[in-house]
Order: sequence, then structure tokens, then C-alpha cells
Amino acid sequence: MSVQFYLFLLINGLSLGMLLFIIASGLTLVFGVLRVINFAHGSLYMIGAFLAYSLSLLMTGGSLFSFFVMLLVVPPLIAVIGFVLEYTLFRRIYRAEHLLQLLLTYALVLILDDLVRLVWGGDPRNVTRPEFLAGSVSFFGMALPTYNVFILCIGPAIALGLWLMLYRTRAGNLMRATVSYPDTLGALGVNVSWVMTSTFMLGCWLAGLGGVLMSSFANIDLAIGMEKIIECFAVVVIGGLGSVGGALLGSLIIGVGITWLPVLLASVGVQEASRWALVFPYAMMAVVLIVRPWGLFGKPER
Amino acid sequence: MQLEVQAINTFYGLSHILFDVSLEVDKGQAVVLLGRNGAGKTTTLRSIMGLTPPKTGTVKFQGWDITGMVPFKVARLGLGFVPEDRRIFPDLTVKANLDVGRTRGNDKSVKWTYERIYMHFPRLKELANRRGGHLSGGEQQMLTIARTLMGDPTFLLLDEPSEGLAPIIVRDLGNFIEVMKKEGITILLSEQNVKFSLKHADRAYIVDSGHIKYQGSIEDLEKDDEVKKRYLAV
Repeated sequence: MSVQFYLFLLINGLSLGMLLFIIASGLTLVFGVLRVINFAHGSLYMIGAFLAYSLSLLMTGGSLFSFFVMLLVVPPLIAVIGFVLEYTLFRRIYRAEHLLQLLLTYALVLILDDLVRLVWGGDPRNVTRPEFLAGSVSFFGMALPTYNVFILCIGPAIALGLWLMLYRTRAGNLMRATVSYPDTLGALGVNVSWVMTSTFMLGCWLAGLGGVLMSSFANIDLAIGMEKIIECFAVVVIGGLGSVGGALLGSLIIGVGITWLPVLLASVGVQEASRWALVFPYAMMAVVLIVRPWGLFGKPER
Repeated sequence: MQLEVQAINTFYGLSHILFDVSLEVDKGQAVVLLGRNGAGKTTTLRSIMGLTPPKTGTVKFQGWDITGMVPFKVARLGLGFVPEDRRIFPDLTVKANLDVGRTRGNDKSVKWTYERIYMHFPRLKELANRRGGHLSGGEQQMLTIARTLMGDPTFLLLDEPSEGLAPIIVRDLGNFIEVMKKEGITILLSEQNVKFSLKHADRAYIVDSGHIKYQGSIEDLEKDDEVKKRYLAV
């Protein structure tokens, strides 16, 4: 295999990683501030993808206009669903034990996934890419889908936006203060419940955005929610729970890893290389948990 | 009366901590709540703030009944709380810690601006971009008071501010308490440091095992060696 080919795979892996980051950053942000791992995050991402699909049916497929409408409408819709979930369910369990939190979010996975099945059915769907992103760019004689390059640009933009929001705005200060001492923040006159609700909504917005981008990236079906939440969970464990920077690094490691590994393994003669590559996120997660249990960018629990 | 606490009983889980605690603070006064470790000083302040709401009794602030009100609403009425363990947000810079306390947003009528805080605490200006977790104890104590002041309280609850500070820092702290008194901020502070309290407070309460055992002017307490000996181990 040529160097160019690996470079080509690297770019594809990075764009897959960026897509993963957009979703995983929401999961890690919510965990960081609310201390709840929302396993229904993947289901919300899936609902976002299917909503984008339904919306695309109402408009001219492949038009730039419909793509922008999806990007503008769907993520806020998911944020609204997030608001309802946070307000009615999540805020009751912030101080509860982890097992109860796990039960609640897992129950939500089952309910939401079945709702998707009920509404959209089990067939795989896809959304036509807008024309200007539908083609490919030539890369060392290989055709690199323009859409992958597009995602490769969106990912860092989201990362930068999140960083600026967290470290350069009052909202970010409030979120980071909530992580340390929510009670103290409340005594300073801040409505901490609202900070938590907003953070949850932002996390869901990111899940929705990931869903929209995914709907034009590959086929979507009932399995994508579960598939992504497992990858995202691996990502945030590798990067460090609650760390957005860690989620970025973790996403890129997983994205590049699952793109490269099948080829690498096949080239050294491993049978069924692509199946072995599926193990990669778990293996990575296991290694990180053994060597550095708090994750690459995380901090040990006090 | 700016603050009126009437016969509050507060519990941590099943353990009864405060027994019919009553106290009053007039506007513009500095009142000290003295007592040993575990006497109930912190719990009294936390009960007023709504952080550990009392089971029975009432807390009135400027005529409003604030018993059981959530802390952020209490704070917005003008009650500022400075916790004993300082609770500086470790991942936030000094400036961001102050920003978080600025709960009235960009309201132009606020008395406490960054400039004024930095004027009184020049050290905080030098450290503006340092993380809260990297400050010394004295710097943290200044920051925790400054952070609460950013919310422009008319009444300050100061929980054992002098604890663990070097004598020279305690002196600075005392000077700043005088500044706040001149600004017209009412102060209720809890202390174990009797000398410090006698110097800066107008009136005193002594709390022991959750009961108020003494109340009176600072002058009277100063003369009352019997009381000081019994409750304050002086």
C-alpha cells in the first residue's frame, strides 16, 4: 500500500472522528456539569438523523436550501426534547446513585428507540447530499468525497466554538463553576438548575447536529443510536469524562483507528480484518482504563 | 430590623443541630456569632441563606419571610454568603471567579465593579489570570469575599473569615471589614477569634451546642470574664 493511500484513509478517519466528536462532546459536556452519563444521547442523535430525513422529504432533495434548513431546525428541536427530558426526569436523579441514573437513561434508550421504530420503521434511509457537497475532490489521484472534507472543517469549528463558549463567556464560567461547587454558585445568586438545563440542551443540540450531518454521511437505520453511544462512551472514557479536549482527541483516535486498522491488519495477512477492527474502541478503552483510569485529559477523582 | 431569625430548629439528617436559635441584626451593624468548633455557627448562617433550611421557625430579611427559600433567590434579595471553606472555583481564573459572582449582569447601578475590587485588593488584580486553585489561603479568602461582593449584597454573612490566616492577613481582613461597614453593608460574621471579633463587631451572640447562650453589646462582653471563660475558652 502506498503512503498516499494511508493518507487518504487518514483523512477519511479524521472526518469520521470529527463526526464522532460532535456527538461525544455533547455527552461529555453533560457528564461534566450534571454528573450523569446520558445513555439516551445516542437515541437523541438517531432521532436527529431521522428528523433530518423526514424534513428532507418535504423539500427539494439535494438543494443547499434544504440542507441549511435541516441544520437550523433539527438541532434546536432535539434541544427542546432535551429540555422536556431534563425538566421532567433528569433533574430528579442528579443526586441519586449511579445505578439509578443508569436505569433511567437506559429505560429512555429503550423507549426512544422503539418510538423511532414506530414512526420511521426499520428500513435504512439516507438523505441526498446537497449538490455542492455531493462530488469529490481529487487527492493524489484518489477521489475524496467533498462531504468528508466538509465534516473535517465543521468539527474543528465546533471544537473552537465550544472552547470559546466554555472559556471566554459568562455562560461557560457558570458551567465550569457548576462542575466544582453547585451549592456555592447558587448562594452567589445563580440559578444553577437553569445552568444545568441549558447545558443539557446544548448537549442535545450537539447530538442533533451530529444526527443531521450523519444523515447525509451514510445510511441511517435503527442501529445507529446504539452504535454511536457505544463509540461515544469509549471516546469519553479515553479522553477523560467531562473533558471536551479529551473528547476531541478520543474521537480522532477512534475515527482514525477504525478506518486504518482493517487495512493494516489485512495487509499483514490477518483473516477477517474488519471484524477484528471492531474491537478497537473497546481495546483502546481497556488500555486507557488500565494505564490512566481518569482518561487522557481527565483528572483523578478527589 | 434588617434580619430577624426567630426560634429556628435545623437538622442534618436526623441530628438536631440548632435549638430555637433567635437573633436580630440591625441595618448597618456588624454582629458576631461566637462559639467553639461544632457549636452551630456555620449551620446558623447556612440556615439563614437557605443552604440547610430550618425545619421550624422563621427567617425574615427586610420584612420578607425567606424561610426555606432557595439560596439563589435569597442571594438576589441582597444577602451575600461567604463560605468558611472559601469554595473558590479551582478551574476558573481569579477574574472568572469574580465574573461568576456578578449576578446582576451589566446593571450600571452596581456599587462593586472590577475596578473597585481591584482597588481594595491590588493582589487580586495581579493574579487576575491565575487559576483559583493556585492561590494561597489568604488570597483565596480575599477572593471569596470579593466574589460575593460582586453581587452587590446589602447584608453579608461571613463564615469564620479569619480561620487559618496569618496574623498580618487577619489585620488586612479587619481593615476591609471596616471598609465594608463604611459602605453601609450589614455584617453577620461567625468567629472563634475573640480578639478579632471584639475589635470589629458592635454586638455579639454566643452559640453553644446549638443554643444561643449570650447576647449583648461588645462592651458588655468584653467586661464579662465569666461568660468568656465558660463559652469561649479565653
